[in-house]
Amino acid sequence: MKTADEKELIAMMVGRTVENRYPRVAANPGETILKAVNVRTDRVKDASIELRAGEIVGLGGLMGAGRTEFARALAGVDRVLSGEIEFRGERVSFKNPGDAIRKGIAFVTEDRKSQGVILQFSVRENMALPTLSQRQRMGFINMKRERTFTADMIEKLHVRLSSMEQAVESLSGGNQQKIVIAKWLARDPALLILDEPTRGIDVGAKREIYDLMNEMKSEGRAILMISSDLPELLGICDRIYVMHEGKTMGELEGESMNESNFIKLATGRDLAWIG
Amino acid sequence: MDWVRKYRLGPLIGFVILFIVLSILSSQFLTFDNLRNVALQTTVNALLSVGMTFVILTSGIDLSVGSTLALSSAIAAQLMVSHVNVALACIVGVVIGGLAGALNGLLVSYGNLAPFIVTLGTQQLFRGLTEVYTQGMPIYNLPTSFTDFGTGTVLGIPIPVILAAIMFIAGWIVLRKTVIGRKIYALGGNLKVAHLAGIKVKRYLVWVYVACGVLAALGGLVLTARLGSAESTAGTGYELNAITAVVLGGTSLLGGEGSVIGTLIGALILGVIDDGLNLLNVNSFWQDAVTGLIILIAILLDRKKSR
Repeated sequence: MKTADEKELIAMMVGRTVENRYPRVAANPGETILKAVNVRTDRVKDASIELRAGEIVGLGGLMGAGRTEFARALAGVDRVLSGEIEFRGERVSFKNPGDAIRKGIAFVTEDRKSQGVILQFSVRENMALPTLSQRQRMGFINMKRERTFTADMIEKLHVRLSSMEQAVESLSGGNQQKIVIAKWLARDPALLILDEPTRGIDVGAKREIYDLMNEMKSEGRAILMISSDLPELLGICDRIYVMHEGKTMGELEGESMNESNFIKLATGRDLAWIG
Repeated sequence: MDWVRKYRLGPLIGFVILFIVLSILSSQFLTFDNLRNVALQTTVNALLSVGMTFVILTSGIDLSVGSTLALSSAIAAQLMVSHVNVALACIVGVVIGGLAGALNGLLVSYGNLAPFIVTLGTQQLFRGLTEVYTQGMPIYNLPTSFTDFGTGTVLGIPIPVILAAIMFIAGWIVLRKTVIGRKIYALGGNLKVAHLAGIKVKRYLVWVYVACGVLAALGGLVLTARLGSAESTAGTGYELNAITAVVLGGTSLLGGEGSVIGTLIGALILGVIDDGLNLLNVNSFWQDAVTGLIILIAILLDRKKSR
């Protein structure tokens, strides 16, 4: 029996060779987009983070470390009880997701089927949702512009489907995820928070999502990625913050960004030499 | 049969079949007078079911519309017999309907309570308030300038029918053509997704119930004008007719799916069944049973469809 290595196996699954599983684009960080200091919510104890334009920053940790909860606080979903958040140099305190969206934050949630898309709605209706007000006149939707907009996004993100009127539930996980990313990209956000963006999608689509993230990075957006897939996190991110029991334990960058350091921080041990 | 599903033609086909069958069975059915009568008889339920469509699209329900109808029309009628300007009295009635809806909406959204429970409570509350207000006595001797609305016609079409048609068209435009309508569908389709997309879901929910209350009040004014009196028992059980019209029209009780066009057809199916059974001299006791059977058949067909 013939044995296959990982690369061959992937090639067999997606029908083409995926040259580099984790494509990396050189970071060219710009101004600080978001700075959060000592954020506390009812599920986050003490978390701080700084994100700059044009970089992909990871947020790692074990299950239940408070990563999603921290992201929810940054995106205006959960109430911040104490601490400070500065977005593009301005002190902010979001009352609801709408506040964060208007400032330029997009949040791609972890649970795609229950929080990312309206499954029974069409691709067009889903994609148009966060940007409805951009294609209206006196409250009326410009349907022609909506269809053009949807067609453009489908092409830009290489979503594979038969019609934009198709229900989202009939698409593959990877294509559903692209629709979620597309609807937020349409808002031209300065910060994109991606919570487990590649969970439950095939290897080929994963690679497309990475390419998309790198493109957004090159465009000068800040990206915060939460992932439980450690090789992915180490492979894609320029820096990684690690959380443990509701606290950010530290930041890994360059030489220090490796598996053993990650695990030390994720399990609550400190790295004395990181300072 | 795919296109039947795609364009949701089920209710329309049902209506057309019913229409043809009744035309064959009764020579009086397909006459202008009879059809006008059907339209007129359907008006109050039609007005209520437009509002009910909005509520059910948000995956809610409003059991209080019948009581809202009674309360708002009793207050409007009392003002009229106290020689308040008819138009002003009507506006007050509509505002009362809107306030009743606002109470429902606030309890459902900000109170985070189940619509079924909330409106079960307010159904009793509004009915009780109506009884207290009227002391159980009908309010009659209404000014003819008001009752003329119920009996008058324009180009042969009864004014109430015109009012209902306007409300249907308005409802259709709002739901299908506007940002507001799209957001109502979205929050019924998935409340979390809508919230995360920045839609102020609670505010929208309140306004949807307000709209439902306003339409119930309009239904009440039409009923009162036609009958020439307001009674504390007016509109009892009307919420079920409205819900039936919505469901027959193919709107999902789970929210996010359906249309006012479907509801219009649903309301017309109910009206035509009532009228047809009358024309065919079917015992009125049978009418409810037949209506119930048709609802069950419609739901069964709908279930097969969604599989």
